[in-house]
Amino acid sequence: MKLFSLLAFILLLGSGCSMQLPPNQWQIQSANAFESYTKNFLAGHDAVATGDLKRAIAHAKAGGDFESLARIYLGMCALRISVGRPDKCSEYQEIAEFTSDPSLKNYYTLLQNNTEAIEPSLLPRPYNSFAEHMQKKEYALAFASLEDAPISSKLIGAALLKEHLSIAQAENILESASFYGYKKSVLYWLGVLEELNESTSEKEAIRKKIEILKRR
Amino acid sequence: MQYNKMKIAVGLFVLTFFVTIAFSSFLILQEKGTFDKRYSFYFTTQSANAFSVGMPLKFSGFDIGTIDEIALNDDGSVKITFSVAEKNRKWISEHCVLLLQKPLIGSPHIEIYSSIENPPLEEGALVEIIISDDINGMISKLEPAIDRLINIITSVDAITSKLSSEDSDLFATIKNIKLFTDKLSNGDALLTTVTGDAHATQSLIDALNTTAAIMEETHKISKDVQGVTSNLKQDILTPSSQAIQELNAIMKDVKQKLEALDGTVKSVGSYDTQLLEIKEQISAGLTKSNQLMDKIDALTQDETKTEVPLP
Repeated sequence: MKLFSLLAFILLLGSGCSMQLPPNQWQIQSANAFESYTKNFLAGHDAVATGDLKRAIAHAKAGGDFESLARIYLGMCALRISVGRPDKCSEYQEIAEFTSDPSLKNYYTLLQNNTEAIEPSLLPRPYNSFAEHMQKKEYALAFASLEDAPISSKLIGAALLKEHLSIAQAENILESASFYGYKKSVLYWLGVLEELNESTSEKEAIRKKIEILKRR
Repeated sequence: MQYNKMKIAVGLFVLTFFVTIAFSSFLILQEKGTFDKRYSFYFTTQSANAFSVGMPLKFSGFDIGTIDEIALNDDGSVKITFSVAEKNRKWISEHCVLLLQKPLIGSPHIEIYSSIENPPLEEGALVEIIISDDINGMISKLEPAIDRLINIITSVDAITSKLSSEDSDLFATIKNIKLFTDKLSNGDALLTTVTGDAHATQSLIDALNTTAAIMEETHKISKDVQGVTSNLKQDILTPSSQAIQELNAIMKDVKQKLEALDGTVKSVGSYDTQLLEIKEQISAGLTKSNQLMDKIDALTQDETKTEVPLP
């Protein structure tokens, strides 16, 4: 029995080693690298994130696929916006003419907070009702629609709504970012809270927290 | 009953197997001429050096016989017996000659020279052998190499003659060195980058300037020497010998400085190459680590996702 198990294990191992990679491996690798970039960027692991991003771009370029490349550039832009860095998505704009997917342009319009021009149904699912509420200027509902969204979408949506958020909503986002260990987002939302708070002592306490967290 | 039948079947199989093996072996040995009648001959030589039992005898490049026995005669000579198969007997004809070949590379063998028109030699007869002269053979093999060596020597002579002329590349190089040193002394940033020390740079520039000055002096002195040697007047013999001594000292100095400069240039060149190698290694390492990270991503994430997810 032991011998049989050993043989079965060796056979499985052999078949695993000889497993053929799909020809579109670059697509999978690009998607995986970008996902890794998303996490590392938000967590503040900048060096690792830069490496991940380069890999994602390199794989997309290997396939000569401008749609994938545009997704990466837009995702990159969205993440910057989510941590309070205004971005015009210049990388995407440079290659936008080579893409035909209307959802990409729509996503770009959302990122630029041009809510009037958005077609909500063409956005990724987490943003469908968010965009609809944004167009109707129902900001509290827009924020509530992000409740079940993936963390990155939640952070992006909240950043787009920043001007209309209450202290409680900002604290909610801060908790979510903290739960995932996304230091960059935590620092950003602490900054937002500092702006929103009117109490000097609160402001001072938040500033101290930011200072401590920024220390290595 | 059935068991007995099985025993008979096994017995028949084993018997057939051994018969087949024996028959196949016989056929192979017959094909190789093991059972052929062999004809023996012999030759005598002063030494058994370079001969051995089993050594082949070749005719037109084909092995047609082998040495079977080597025996020492009472008179000190060596009797060597060889044999050939029946089908090759015709090559051992009357007046045939054996020639011992000892190539520089490869094992020695005996070459047979015979005429097919002559009748076959009687079995057991003596065959004449010629031992080739090793040194002459070697010289004939070395002749092409010697010819090349002579060509090289002639070329070196031509090169040195050319170098010694006024319009030679050597003089052009010396002029170029002067230009180079002037440029280096005007801008020392490059050298400081190389040496990493402003003092060292200044010392090098001073040395180079000295070299350039010495070069000019050397050229003047060489012209003096030329003039002196052409006239060979008694009254200038002593000054000229001084000039030659001075020239010798200067040339030694120049040599030392050029060697130092050569070392510097080479080390700069080697740093450049090393940096390039290191850069290539780092690049290869990065590519490998990226591939590894792709694999880790594939293991830890969704392997089937083919679209970059918009966050």
